[in-house]
Amino acid sequence: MAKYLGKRLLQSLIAILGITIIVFLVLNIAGDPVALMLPETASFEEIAAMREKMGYNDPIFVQYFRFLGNALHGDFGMSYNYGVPALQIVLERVPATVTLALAAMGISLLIGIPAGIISAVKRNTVLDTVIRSLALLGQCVPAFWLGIMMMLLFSVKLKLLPTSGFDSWSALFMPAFTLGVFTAATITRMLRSNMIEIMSKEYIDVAKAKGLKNFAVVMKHAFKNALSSVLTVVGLQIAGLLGGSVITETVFSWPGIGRLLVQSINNSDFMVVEVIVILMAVTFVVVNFIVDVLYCVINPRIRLQ
Amino acid sequence: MWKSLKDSKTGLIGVIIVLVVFITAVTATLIVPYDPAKQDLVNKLMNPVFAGGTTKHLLGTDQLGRDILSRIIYGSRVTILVAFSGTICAGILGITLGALAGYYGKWVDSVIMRIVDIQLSFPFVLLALFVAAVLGRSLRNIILIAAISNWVQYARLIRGEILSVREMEYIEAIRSVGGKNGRIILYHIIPNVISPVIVQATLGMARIILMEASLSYLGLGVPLEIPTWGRMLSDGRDYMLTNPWLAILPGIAITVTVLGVNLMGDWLRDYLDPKLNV
Amino acid sequence: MKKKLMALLLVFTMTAGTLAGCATPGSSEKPAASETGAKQGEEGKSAGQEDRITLTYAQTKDVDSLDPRNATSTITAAMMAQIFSALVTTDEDYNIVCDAAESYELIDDCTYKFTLKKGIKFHDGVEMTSEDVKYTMDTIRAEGADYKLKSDFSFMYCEPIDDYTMYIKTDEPNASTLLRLNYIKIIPKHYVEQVGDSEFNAKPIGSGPYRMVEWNKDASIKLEAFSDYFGTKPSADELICKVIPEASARIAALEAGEVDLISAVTTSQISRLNSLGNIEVVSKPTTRTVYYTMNSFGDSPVTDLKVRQAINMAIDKDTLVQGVLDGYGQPCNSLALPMFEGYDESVRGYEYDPEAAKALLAEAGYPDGFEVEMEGSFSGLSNAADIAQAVGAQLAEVEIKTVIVEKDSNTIKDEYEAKTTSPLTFYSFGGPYNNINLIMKCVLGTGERYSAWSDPEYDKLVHDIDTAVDPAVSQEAYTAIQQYLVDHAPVVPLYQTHAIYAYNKYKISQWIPRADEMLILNNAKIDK
Repeated sequence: MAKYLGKRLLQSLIAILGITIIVFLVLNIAGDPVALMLPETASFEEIAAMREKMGYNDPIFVQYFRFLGNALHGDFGMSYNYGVPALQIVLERVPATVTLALAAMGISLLIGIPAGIISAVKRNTVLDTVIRSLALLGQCVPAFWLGIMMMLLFSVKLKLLPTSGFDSWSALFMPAFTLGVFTAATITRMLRSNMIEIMSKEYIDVAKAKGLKNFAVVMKHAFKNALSSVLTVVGLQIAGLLGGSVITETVFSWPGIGRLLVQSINNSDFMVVEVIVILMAVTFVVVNFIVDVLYCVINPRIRLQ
Repeated sequence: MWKSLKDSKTGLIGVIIVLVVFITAVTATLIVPYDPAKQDLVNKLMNPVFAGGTTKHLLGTDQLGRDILSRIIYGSRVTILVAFSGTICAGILGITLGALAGYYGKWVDSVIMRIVDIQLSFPFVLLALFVAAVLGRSLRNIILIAAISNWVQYARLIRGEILSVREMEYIEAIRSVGGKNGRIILYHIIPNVISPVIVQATLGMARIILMEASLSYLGLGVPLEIPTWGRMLSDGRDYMLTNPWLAILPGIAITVTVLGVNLMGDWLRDYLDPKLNV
Repeated sequence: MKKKLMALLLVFTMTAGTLAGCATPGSSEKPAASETGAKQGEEGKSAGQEDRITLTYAQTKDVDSLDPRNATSTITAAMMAQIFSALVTTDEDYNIVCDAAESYELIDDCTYKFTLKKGIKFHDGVEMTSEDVKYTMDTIRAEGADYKLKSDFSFMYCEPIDDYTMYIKTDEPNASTLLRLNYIKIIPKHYVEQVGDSEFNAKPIGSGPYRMVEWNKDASIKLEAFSDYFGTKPSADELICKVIPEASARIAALEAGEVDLISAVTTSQISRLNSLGNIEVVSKPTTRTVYYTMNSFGDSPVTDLKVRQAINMAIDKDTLVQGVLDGYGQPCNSLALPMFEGYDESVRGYEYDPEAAKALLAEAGYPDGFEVEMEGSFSGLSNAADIAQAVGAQLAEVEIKTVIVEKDSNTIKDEYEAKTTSPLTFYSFGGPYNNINLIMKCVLGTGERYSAWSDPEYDKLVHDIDTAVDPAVSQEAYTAIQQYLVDHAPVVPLYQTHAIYAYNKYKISQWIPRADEMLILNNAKIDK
C-alpha cells in the first residue's frame, strides 16, 4: 500500500508542477505584465527599465524557476487592479467559496444518497421513475439557468429567499442548491446502478436467506459496497464544484474566488487569475489524492489493480 | 438497431430530439420566419403568443425587437456546430494520444498519462475560462476549448484497450508477418473500441453544449452577432422581472437538447455495449 | 471499517455546516472601533441603537481601493466622497463649490490661493492643515509614484503659506485646475506616514461625513456618520453599500426591502417599478458621453473624411435613445456636453440624413459600401451591446456592413495605446472631473490614452483651451475646438447617458441625484 501511495503522491506532485508550467507559459503568452503594472503615462524608457528590473529579459526557464521560487514563498506578485498582493486578494475570498462548495456537497449528499438508495430498492416503481427522471434532468439543466429560475420563483414571485448576499443562511440555500444539483444527480444515478448491481450478487441472497431483514441487508451490504463509488464521485465532483462555483457565484453575487476569477479576467488582472487557477487546480489534485488514500483504506483490493 | 430503439422509449425520444435539433440547424436559413438579426425597435420585448403576444412573433421579440423563434432556430446551429466539431477534434486528439501511449508504452506512456493527470486537475470551466481569456472570443476558440477539455476520456479508453490487446496472439501474429504499427492500430485496435468511443462521444457532446452555454453566459463565448442560446439567456437576465420568457425559452432549448443527447447516449450504451456501465 | 466510513461521511457533512457558519460575515465580529476614533464609538452608542437611521444601497461593483489616490472607477470615487473631503466639490448640477476650502482666488495664470476652513477634523480627531493637502498632492506627483491618479493630476502641486492658507500651483496655466481639485481627496499625513499605504487602504481615515467601519470585499461596505464632520450632518447614521452585480437581483432586493436604493436601473424595468407604488425612479443626465472613435492610423475607409462624415450622418441618435434606451439619454452631436463650461450651441453637429450619407460614400468611392470592424467593451454601460447592434443595423442601411467584436476594456485600452483599435471603436468617457478640456484631450489628442487620432492642428486647439484660464478669452478657443469636430468628423458622438436610480419613497425623499454619478444622499431626507 505504501508503495502505491508513494507512487500516487509522486504523480500528484508532477501534476502540480505541470499545472504551474502551463499557467506560467499561458500567462506569458497572454501579454506583457509590465505594461499593466506601470501608469498609463509611463515612457518607453520606464517600461524598458521596469522589464529589466523585474527580470522579464531573462531566458524563459530562468523566469519560470524564479516564478516557482516566489510562488513557494507565497509571492505571486501584486494585483494590478487592487494594488495589493494577489494572494491576499484571493485568500480573502476563499472562505466564501469553501462555504458554498461544502454546502453544495452537503446538499448533494443529502439528496443523492437517499434518492439513490430508494431508487435502487424500489426499482421499477413509480417512485423510481420519478427519481430517475429528476436525476437525469438534473444533469441536463444548465446550472446558471436553474439559478436564475429559482431566483425568479423564490425571490421575486414568492419573496421567500434573498436574491443575493452573503449574510444569512437563507442566502446560502439557493446558490448551494444550484451548485449541488448536478452532483446530486450524478450521485443518485451512480449509487442506484451500483446498488442494483451489488444487490443482484449472490452474497446478498445468502444474507437474505440467513433471515436478515431486508433493510438491514440493504444497509449492511449493498450500501457499504456502493459507497466507495460515491466516494470516487465526491472526489471527481470537487472539480465540478470549484468550476461550477465560477458560474454560481456570478449568478448569485457570491463574493468568492469564482466571481473574482471572472472579474479578474475582465480586468486583465492576470496575477489574480494565476493564483486562482493554481489554487483551484492544486486543491483538486490534493483532494483526489486524499480520496485515493481513503479508497485504498476502504477497499484494499485497489492495490492489485 | 431499429428494434432496440423501438423497445427503448427513452432512447427513441432522445434520438428524435437530437434529429429535430440537427435538422433545425441544417435547414435554419429555410425555416426561420424572420432574419434573426432583423431589429424592430418599435415592437421590442413582445411576449410569446401563449403569454399574450401576437401570432406575428410566436415566441415574442427581444430587447431589440428581434424575433425570438428565429434566434432560437439559428442558435441551434452554433450548438450543433460546437458540439460536433468539438467532439470530433477531442476524439482525434484523444485517440491519437491514447494510441501512442498504449502502443509504445514506456516513457511515451508516462508523459502522456501525466498530461492526462494535469488536464484532469483543471476544472473544466476553469480551463475554458482561462483559454477564452487568453485567446479571445471566437467560434474557433470555443471549439478548441471543447476539444482540449474533452480528449482525456478518449485517450484513456484507447490506451486501456490497447494495453489489453497488445500482447494478444493475433496482434503478435500480424506483427510477425511485418504489419506496420500504424496499420495495426488503425485496423485491428480501433474497431475494438469504436462502441465505447461512440458512447463517450455522445455524453461528451452533452457536456460541450452546456460548456458553450456557460461561456456565452459569462460573456466569453462566441461573438455578439451570432445568436446562441447561452448569449440569449445571458441577455435575458436583465429582463427577468418584466419579460421572463427571454431567459426561460433559451434555457428550455438547452435543457431539452442536452436531455435528448443524454437519452440517446444512454440508449447507445445499452445497445452497443451492455456490459459497459459508466 | 464501515463505521469509519459512516463517521467520515458524517464529519464531512458536519464540517460543511460549521464552516458555513464561521465564514458568514454577518456573524463576524466588528473591527474594534476604538482604533479609528474611540470618541465616535461612544457617541454612537449613547445615541441609542433604536433611533439610528440606516440606509442601505446596492451598486453594481465593489470599490477597487479605499485610497483616494488610486480611486479611478466612478463607484470608488463615490465612496471616496463619503469618507474624504477635498478643497472644492461640485454641486448636483456640476458647478464648483467650496468643500474643505473656506475661499479661493486666482492669483495669476498658474496660481490659486486657498484658505482652509478652520477646525476640520479627520476621523481620528486630528485637525486638517495645509500640510495634509501638500502631502496628498506631493505623493501623487512624486517621481516614481504609481498611484492611478498620477497621469491626470501630477501637473499641480501645493505650497503651504501657513496652517490654513496655501497656494495651489500648476506647471502651466490650466483651465481645469479647480474642477480637478474636486477629485483630490485630502488624506491625513500623520496617519498614512505612520501606518503605510496598504494599511491605509484597508482602514482609511478621512475628513468626510462618514467613517469606514467594515469592508467585506465584493460584498458590502459599512460606514458610520462622523459626528465631528465640518459640513452638514448627513441624514443617515449608518450607510451600508452592498454589491449586487445582476440588474434583476438589484431590483428584486429593492422590492424585497433588502436595500433602500439601487443604481443602474435598466430602462425596461422603469414603468413596472413606478407601478409598484412604494418605489420612485429618478434619472439625471451625467457627464458621460458615449461615442465611436474612428482610427486614423490604419488604412481603413474611415481615414477618408467623406466616409467619416457619412457615418456621422447614417446614425439616427434619436432612434437609438428612444428605441433602445426608452428615452433615458440625451442624443448629442459633440463630445462637448451642454453642461460643460465653454459649450457653444451655435456649433451644429451632423444631422441624421442617410441619403446624404450614401451620396458621400459614393463620392468617396464606396457606392456599394464596405465592411468594417466595430469593437467595444459592453459590460460597464447599460444596454451598450444593444446600442452597438442597433448602430450596426443603421449602418447596414447605408451599405456599411459591420462586424461587432466584443473585447474587455483593458484590451481596448492597450489597443488605444498602440493605436491599433478597430476602424470604429465604441467607448464612453465621463466622471467627476470631466470637462471639454479633458474629454477633447483624452479622446482625440495625439498619443492620448483613448485616442486613435493625431493632428498637430488639433493638439494646438487643445493646448489653447487648456491654457486659456480667463473665461472671457477662452470662449473663442472652446468654439474653435468644437468646430474642429464638425470639420474633421474624427468621432461619432452618440448620446449623453442618464444615471437611473430607484428607491423606496417612504424612506428617502427630496433627493436630487448628481451629474457626476456620485451616489451621495447627504442632501436627501431619510426616514426610519
